[in-house]
Amino acid sequence: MSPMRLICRHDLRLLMRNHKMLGSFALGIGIILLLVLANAKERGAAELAGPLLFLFVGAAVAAPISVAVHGVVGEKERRTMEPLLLLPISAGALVAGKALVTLLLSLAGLAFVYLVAFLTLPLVGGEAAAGALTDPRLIYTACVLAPLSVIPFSLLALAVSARAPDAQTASATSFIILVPVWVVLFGVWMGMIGVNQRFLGVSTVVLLGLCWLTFAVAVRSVDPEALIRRRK
Amino acid sequence: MIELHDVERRFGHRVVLHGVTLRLEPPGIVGLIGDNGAGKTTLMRLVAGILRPNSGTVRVFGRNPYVERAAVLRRVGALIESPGHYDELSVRDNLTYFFGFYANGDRTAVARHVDANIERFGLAAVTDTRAGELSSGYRQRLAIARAVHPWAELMLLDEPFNTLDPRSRNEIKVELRRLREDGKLILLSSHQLADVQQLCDTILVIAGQRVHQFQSFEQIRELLDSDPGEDLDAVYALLADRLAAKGGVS
Repeated sequence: MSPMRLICRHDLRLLMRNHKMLGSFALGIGIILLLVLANAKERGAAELAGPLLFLFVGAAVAAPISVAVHGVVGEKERRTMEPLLLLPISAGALVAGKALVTLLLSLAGLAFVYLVAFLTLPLVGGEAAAGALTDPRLIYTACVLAPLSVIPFSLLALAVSARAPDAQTASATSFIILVPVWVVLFGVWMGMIGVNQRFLGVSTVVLLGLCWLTFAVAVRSVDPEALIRRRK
Repeated sequence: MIELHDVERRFGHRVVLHGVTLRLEPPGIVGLIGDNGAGKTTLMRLVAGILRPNSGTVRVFGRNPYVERAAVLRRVGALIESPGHYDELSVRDNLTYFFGFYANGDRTAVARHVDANIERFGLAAVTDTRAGELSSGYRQRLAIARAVHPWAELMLLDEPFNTLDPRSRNEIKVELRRLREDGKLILLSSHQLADVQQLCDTILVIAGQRVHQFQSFEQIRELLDSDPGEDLDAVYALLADRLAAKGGVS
């Protein structure tokens, strides 16, 4: 088994035992879901595209921050970071393994949200609302944009956590990084930013660029010397 | 196996190691002693490739450990400073996770070596106990069992006898001697000078930012002007003061 898969499987196992974190993740998704359902009554299918996009991207990016922060700060707090650095693994494998955990959790959250929306939207908003779920823009968002947006934000959270002295600082800094995303999503929700092909195309290109950039930043940030020096 | 040439390491303006040149070959147990903060852990981290020297060169198995860390660490077992464990996981699961990185996917080999180390390091009674519920002595045993893995040719053990009772210390010493007979090289730091005297073929003393190499405490005694008596701590203190005052000559 590759080091990346070993790290990913191990971190997932630890995460499944962290009920507090899983609970807060479920609560966050639940709140966004309720907001969308509340809007489904008042809006037609066309107007639901924005809130649903908000729901899917929001559900996808909500988890990575806490999970990534826990993945690095948790290692530092339990003093397993140095034993981990003494293993024959590259910084890239370490970062990729930890980022993969957040991606898998986000995909699971996304699938859950899509399923719940698929089952509840017709009941709350009628056939028109249910039709919004099969909108190609929304399917593209759920299948491409949302998973793609997880990667840079989880990598950024990993990088921040590697340099932060504690979990609170790491979480706070990581959430600040997410502010631009929430601003864009809020604009989409309010109808100020149109969800058209151009928007989806530009978002995809920007996210792909961010994936590459943030991976480089994250790998640099888990430089063992930097981690040891900061701990001193 | 380990070669350092004119190595200097600073933290900010503080020079921890200066002009360190040494060469260590297997098999053997090399004792590393020095005051708190003298640079023992720093030296081990330089060898493990976790720290980079400010000047000079470090070679382990002929490679630069900082640049080729993964390749070097594949043949190194290390316990440096803190015995951190995954407290939620059992002793067996902790070892299985760490050994998995060396076994190239061979789960049977991992299970076999985990069982062997559980037996060798006296962890059989706590195999399924979560690491977070272990006493400090067992935590230390687990850390040693993790570091002394079968794929290692070089072992870096930073104060391995900390928190161990006399019986456990003796058992670990027996294991370390067996590893030496198997042709391994063990670099071991300790403040327990009696253990160093019993175990080690070579003694490295870090004082005045330099590393000084001796074959035994007897050789150290011969160098001293005054007789410190039988107490090894007194022998060390006298030597360290002398070396620090001289600025040290390797």
